[in-house]
Amino acid sequence: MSKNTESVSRKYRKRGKLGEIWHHFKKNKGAMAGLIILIVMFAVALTIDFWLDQEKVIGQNIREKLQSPNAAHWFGTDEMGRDMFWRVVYGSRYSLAIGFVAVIVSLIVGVPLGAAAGYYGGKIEGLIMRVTDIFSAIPSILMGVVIVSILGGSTINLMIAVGISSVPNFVRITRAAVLTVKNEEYVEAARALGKTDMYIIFRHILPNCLSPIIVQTTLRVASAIVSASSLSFLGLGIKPPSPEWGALLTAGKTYIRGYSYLCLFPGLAIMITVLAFNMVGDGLRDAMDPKLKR
Amino acid sequence: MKRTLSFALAALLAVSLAGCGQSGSAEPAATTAAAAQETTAAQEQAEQAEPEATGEQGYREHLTIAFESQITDLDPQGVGNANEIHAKLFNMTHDTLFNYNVETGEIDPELATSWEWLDDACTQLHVTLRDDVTFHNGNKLTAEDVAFTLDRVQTDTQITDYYDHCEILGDHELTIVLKSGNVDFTYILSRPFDSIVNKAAVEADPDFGGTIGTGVWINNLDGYVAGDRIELIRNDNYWGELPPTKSITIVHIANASSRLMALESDEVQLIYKLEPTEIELARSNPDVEVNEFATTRLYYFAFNTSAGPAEDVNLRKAVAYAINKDDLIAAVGDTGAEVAKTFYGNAMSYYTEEFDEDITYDPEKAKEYVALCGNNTSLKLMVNTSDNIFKTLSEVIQEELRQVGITMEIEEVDSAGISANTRYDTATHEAMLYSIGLNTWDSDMGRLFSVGTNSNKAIVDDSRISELLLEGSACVDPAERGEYYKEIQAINNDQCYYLPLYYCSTTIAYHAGLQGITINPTGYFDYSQICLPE
Amino acid sequence: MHRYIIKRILMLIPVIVGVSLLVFVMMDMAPGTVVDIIGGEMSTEELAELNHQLGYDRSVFYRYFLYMKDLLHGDLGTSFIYKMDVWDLYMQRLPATLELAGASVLLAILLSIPLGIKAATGHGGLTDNVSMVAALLGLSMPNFWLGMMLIVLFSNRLGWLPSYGATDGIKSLILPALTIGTGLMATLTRTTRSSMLDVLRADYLRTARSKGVPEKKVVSKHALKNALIPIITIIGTQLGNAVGGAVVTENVFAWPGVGRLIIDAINQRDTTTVTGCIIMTTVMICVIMMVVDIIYAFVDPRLRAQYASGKTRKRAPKVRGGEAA
Repeated sequence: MSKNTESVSRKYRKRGKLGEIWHHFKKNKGAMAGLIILIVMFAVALTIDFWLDQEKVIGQNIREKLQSPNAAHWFGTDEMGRDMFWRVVYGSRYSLAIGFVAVIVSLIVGVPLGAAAGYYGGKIEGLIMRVTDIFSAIPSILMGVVIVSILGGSTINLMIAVGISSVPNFVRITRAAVLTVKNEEYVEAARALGKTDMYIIFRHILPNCLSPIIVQTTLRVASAIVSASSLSFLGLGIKPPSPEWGALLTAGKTYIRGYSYLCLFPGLAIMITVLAFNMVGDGLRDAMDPKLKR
Repeated sequence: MKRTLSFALAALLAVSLAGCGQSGSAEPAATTAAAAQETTAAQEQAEQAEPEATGEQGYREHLTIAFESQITDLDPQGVGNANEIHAKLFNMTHDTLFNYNVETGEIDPELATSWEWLDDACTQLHVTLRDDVTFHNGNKLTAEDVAFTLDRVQTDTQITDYYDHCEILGDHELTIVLKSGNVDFTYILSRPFDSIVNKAAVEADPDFGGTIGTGVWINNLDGYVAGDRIELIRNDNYWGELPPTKSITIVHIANASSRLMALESDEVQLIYKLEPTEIELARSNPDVEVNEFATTRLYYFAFNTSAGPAEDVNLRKAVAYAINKDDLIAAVGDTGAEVAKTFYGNAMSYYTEEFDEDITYDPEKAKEYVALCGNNTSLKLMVNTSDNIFKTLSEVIQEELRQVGITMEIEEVDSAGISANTRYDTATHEAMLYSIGLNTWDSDMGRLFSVGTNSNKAIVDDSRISELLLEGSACVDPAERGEYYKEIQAINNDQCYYLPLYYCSTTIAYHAGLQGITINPTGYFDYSQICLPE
Repeated sequence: MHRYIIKRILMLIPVIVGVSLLVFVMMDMAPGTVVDIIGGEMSTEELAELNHQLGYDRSVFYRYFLYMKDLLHGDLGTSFIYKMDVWDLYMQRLPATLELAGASVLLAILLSIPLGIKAATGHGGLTDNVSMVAALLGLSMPNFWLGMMLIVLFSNRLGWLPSYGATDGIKSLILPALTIGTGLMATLTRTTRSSMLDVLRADYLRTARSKGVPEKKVVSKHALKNALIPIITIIGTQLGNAVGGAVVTENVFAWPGVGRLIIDAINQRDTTTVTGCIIMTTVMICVIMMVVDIIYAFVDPRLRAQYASGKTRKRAPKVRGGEAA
């Protein structure tokens, strides 16, 4: 097969595959609901700076503090008289950004390591997997706490902390996926043609391991959002007055008895976002996993 | 001269009374209720005073107290445990030479029966001890133990700066010799961290020998889970009055809401520090009594005055005028807090508010000072994340400074981080928020101004203040001493090294009817006579 | 089998060395040391003296070397904060953690496996849909938030259960176990369902059915046994995680477990305690994994043969991504 026809045929095959995935995905009601929620959230998060006055989010009005949800303040006001509805809405920016960047961090670190471990095997694999074992022996929250303490509390550092703690997951998933394809004929063929290892890994192996990695990515965004809010909850994370959801929960926990709405709404926001990611992830997996196709 | 501690007194009347002596006739509950009327806090309780006990009154045998932070060390002279939490424990398990009487502000006898300064310079203190005191291990208390205890203090500057050695004159008689005079030394020795331990016990077991004291309560090491709980058993050989309670468990519940819930469900019978928003809630519960009282804990804003933008006194003054202390208090919801007008202990004798320049909230004046700062209008504030109050304060101050044109960035670090970043010799902070529980004697201010110590958070090196502190602590004449301490306050008001914010109030809540608590605005409460009539 | 166990223990050694080094370095990089915590109001000279006493004037590797030397003699070190042996500290906290881990995993097993089987056999039906939505919800809730809400509801509004600590026996166990158990239940139900679904479609079951074996027996006898391995893997992983201490939940409920100890120790920069506890956790997880592997051998004779021949690399079939999260 000439090089040209090979790439052309792959293109076709790829488009066909994507279409098929979408076809299966569409049929999954939960997944579609999740997708719609996420699209709306992204639209809001990306555009909010254009249509919402910052003053509404950070402006304090001590005289209006701790109002229960009412017509003027849908989610009530916090202890500094800030409107909780706009704070929760604005907080989506932070939580989504943290979720995504954190997972990108762990993808960048985890996937190449996992691929190398799976592809080369032997000593390299042993070393990478032992180091992975070591990192996963440390509870992820702990890792986050230490990293945030070392680097100081800021959005970026929180992203790094959450990202690093989910690296071992990606290493394992990628390695397992690579193991299943590394002895396929097309890989042998590429090797016989004298292609470099880098070329083979990135050109032939990883594209064929994408589905578990994509599924894992979606689900990990969800758990990254939860981890980030847990770190905020333990008192590490975002700088005030940023209304990250975990930070809102931490501030609200002081008032949980008398003003439980301060905890309720940010918690629900986290739950709905995570739920949407999980549903999309489930849908993607079902659509991509050949085993479940009838 | 001494500022009245009426707040403390009212609370005291309501709670402590004569405790609940086992030997004496049982205290009728109605007396307690009548006294409690003095405070509005306990009025509900009066309405439903418990029926009078007929005949012998029963008491609950076991009580549980919840502490808001961890007990990490049971030894009064352990390194790094000189804080309010441990003070409460040591007050129960150990005894000090002297007892600070909250009502009179004077020093009362405890293990010492009598004492006198042998010289006018206050460098030699002659002490006579009780002869009927035994430690929990059965050993008798002797002058040897007192000398051993004082020699043992290695890391407490309040002692080590002054204490030289002891001369033992007999089994129950000794002279404490100081390096330089300190009129307040008897006060210092009344702190629970200077409780007397048994020499023989510590020498036999350096790790846990110090847990053996002479107090009402014995540490039960079998019931000790470090950082979580400690069980105490009544010391029936105690030299003084015994409470009817037989055992006490102290548990650690970090979250204030959880503490209140535990109290409401009678899982614990005494808690300290309620969430400000939950005080009303607690008051509405007939099974719970709440006492709110002012404390000597001062919340303050400290600049790093030896490096960075805050070296400029104009910036410091701009910040001082931009802060609205009433708004801060409202934001943290501390209804009983008292605005601090000078950087000084509110229970100390020479507190003053009379200064040439009256620094109060004045945004226009703040802007004038900002104009004098040139481009130097941004400041980084280091905030301790372990306390929500600091976070709230920092956010309000951030907003207030924004109004006058100062950009303040908030840098959040945890306790260890803030302590490391503000060490006297290697400080990297530009400004910080902190609080300090001040004692009632004036020389205590030395902790905040003395050069080279870790608690000097403004990194002040003011030679005049150092001089005044030294002269003040050695000066026997009260009027002259007052002048020294007032000058210190005037210097700080003028230089704005530290900005005093407010003295916080705090709350203690307990099972209705609980008796025997001695409240101390410094936070060194005495729970040793605690009991609950049933 | 013995060879296998010895091999696993040998594999633990580099992990312990690595983990403790990592903890030491990380704790060293964090701002401040234990000296800053206990040296609250000391003078510069006193701080320097304390720094020297605790070895903080030397490099982190020197301190690590000293620690490892002690560790070789079986000594986990002494805590600077609690002034106790770390081993004793750990042992004080372990029972509460084990209790909570056991209760939550047991709760998950008792509820999730039957539910998962029901969902799989009635695939697409009401039970399936309801339990899957519930599981997704359970998976999406932040632990600490659930804990807080449970406290408000059950101990505050209703007053049924205690809100803190481990002082009231079973009663105080319920809420924290439920908090941790919810996530576990969600994961386990999903795993059980999907692995049952995989097995139920397998050819040999079709054969069994065509031979006239009643469906109930097909499920209970043939399918479940084959679906067990991924389920056991998940249970093992979760038990392992729980033994490390549920940091956040223990914090919410003031539970006197290992997780809270570790967090408190990190906050106080108590390096020896953090390291000691994490080493012990690693060992515990290794033991649990070993037990899991041994259970595999009982469940699946093929795997037993593998252990016997000493090949340990091949682990039980991987569980599909996400559900192991």
